[in-house]
Amino acid sequence: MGLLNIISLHFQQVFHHRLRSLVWFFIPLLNNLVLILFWSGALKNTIADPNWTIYTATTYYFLLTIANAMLSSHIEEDVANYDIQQGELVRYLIRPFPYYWIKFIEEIPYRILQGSYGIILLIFFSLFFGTYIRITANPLILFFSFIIAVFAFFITFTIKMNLGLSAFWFKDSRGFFELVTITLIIFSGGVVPLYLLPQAVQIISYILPFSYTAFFPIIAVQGKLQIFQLFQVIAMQLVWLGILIGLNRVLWKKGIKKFTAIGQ
Amino acid sequence: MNTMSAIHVDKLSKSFRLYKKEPGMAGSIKSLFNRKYSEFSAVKEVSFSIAEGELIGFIGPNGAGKTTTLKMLSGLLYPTRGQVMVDGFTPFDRKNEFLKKISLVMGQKNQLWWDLPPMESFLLNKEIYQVSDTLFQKNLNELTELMEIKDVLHTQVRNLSLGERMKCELVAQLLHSPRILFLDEPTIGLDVLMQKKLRDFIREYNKRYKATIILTSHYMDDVKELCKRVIVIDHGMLLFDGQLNVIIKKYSRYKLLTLTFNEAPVPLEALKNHGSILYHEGTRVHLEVEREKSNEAASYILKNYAVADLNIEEPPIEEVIRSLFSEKKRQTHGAS
Repeated sequence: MGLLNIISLHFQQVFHHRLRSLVWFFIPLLNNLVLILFWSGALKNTIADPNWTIYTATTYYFLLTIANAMLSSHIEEDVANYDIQQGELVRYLIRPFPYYWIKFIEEIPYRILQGSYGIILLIFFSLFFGTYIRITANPLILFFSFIIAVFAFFITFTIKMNLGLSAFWFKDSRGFFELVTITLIIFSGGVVPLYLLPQAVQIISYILPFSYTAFFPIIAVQGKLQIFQLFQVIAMQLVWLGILIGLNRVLWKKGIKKFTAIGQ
Repeated sequence: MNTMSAIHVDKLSKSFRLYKKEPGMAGSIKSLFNRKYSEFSAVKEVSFSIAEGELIGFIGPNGAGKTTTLKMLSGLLYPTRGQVMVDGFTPFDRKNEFLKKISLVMGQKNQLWWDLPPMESFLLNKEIYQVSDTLFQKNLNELTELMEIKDVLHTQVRNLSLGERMKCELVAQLLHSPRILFLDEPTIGLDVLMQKKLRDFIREYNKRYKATIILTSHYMDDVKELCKRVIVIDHGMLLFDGQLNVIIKKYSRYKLLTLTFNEAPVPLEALKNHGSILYHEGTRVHLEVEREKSNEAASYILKNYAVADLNIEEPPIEEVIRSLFSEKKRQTHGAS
């Protein structure tokens, strides 16, 4: 009950800035609308691939918009610049609540609000252009897709949190953050679905954690994965989550000893 | 270690590694390959104990190491050397049981949600500190009454005045009934009236809850009115730890006689035989007299002149502290 109250209080804070979330939602939406336009032109003049038609492409980019809005965390700059460099971490450290979890709770309302905009848009679009949106109707697959989406959020959140914690050692990590973000976009299927990439790149991307943050949740909802493949995805997500949380603990324990609380 | 102490600090030190850049472009290019660092000692082997329920003043100039010490006591900073025990806990472990017993209030720092009314931040703290509904309601009523902020509980924090915000900050930090309070410049930026109200509140909280309180402040009135005992620190080193009246006796050799004569002119030449005249206007004179001779001088003046009013006062605490710093500086230079 206490935890629910804490989450609901954070919702109030986010609801106060309802337009901010809408503006942030427009960023992935516009990116992906451009990609839909690009592919609608490109696919008219190429040989039909049953895996990549105007219908699957439109569905993919709509789902990618939702995934970007709902599953992608952007806390690294907050953690690095405000909390560690400017010393805001102080107000979290003096409270009997773990920093990782309070930041997680702070992030949830933003993700739910921005994701909701995407879901509303998808429903609205489906009403008029229903044939362009093709997602699975199998409740079991949808259930496992939901589990995969939850783990996907945990993975992006922990990756970004770990990036932010690097500020304990490095004074300006913005370039490094950009580099990781671009890598994440490419290997998470943020430009094109990973199955369209060359074989070697596909293999690398299936090993890295990034594909489990957007690509696999999307193709799971599209119904492109069998039940046993869904389990494989969940297993890989758990492995990566274990590694990332382990790394998070090490970074936190080592880094916090270097914290100078400057600016407070 | 003194087992009765709420806070025990033993040879506590904290150093920071600072990058030293050589000036100019050459220095910048050099720094690409080789950087020089130096150690800066913010706190040097500081030791003290504070008993349960004590309210002590922790004073020193800017950069003396007060806030760094408070941060180590509250578990924010990892000490380079030495030991700290606060209510039986090592602060840096930041165990939940420890964090529930302490509170750190920083005058320059806003910990409330800026866009929401303070009540929402209070409710958040209630959940985070797992305060029961009954205790929360009791504490909220008591604290908001003491602080006179009942009517601003549902106003956005960004619309509150500095004084109201500071009071709300204090309430937010006290809702979980902390037994140990670290107050870092709680009255900074407040007007005189508000400073007094906050001081009254701190005194009342200390009395009512038997809370152990460490207070840092640049306003010596805060210290003078609230603290019987002071710890003075400068350049990271402890200069004095003891009763405030002892420091005054030890480091102020003079007392201030404020005299109002019945009529002008006042006997200035005669007064100069007893001490130095600091101020004179009309029938009012401020006379600085050696501490040991102050009673003798006062009785002589009363006996020989028509005096409407006479007050014997200690010099302002700022001056006492200043003379302590300069004496310690002289001692250090003398030793070196």
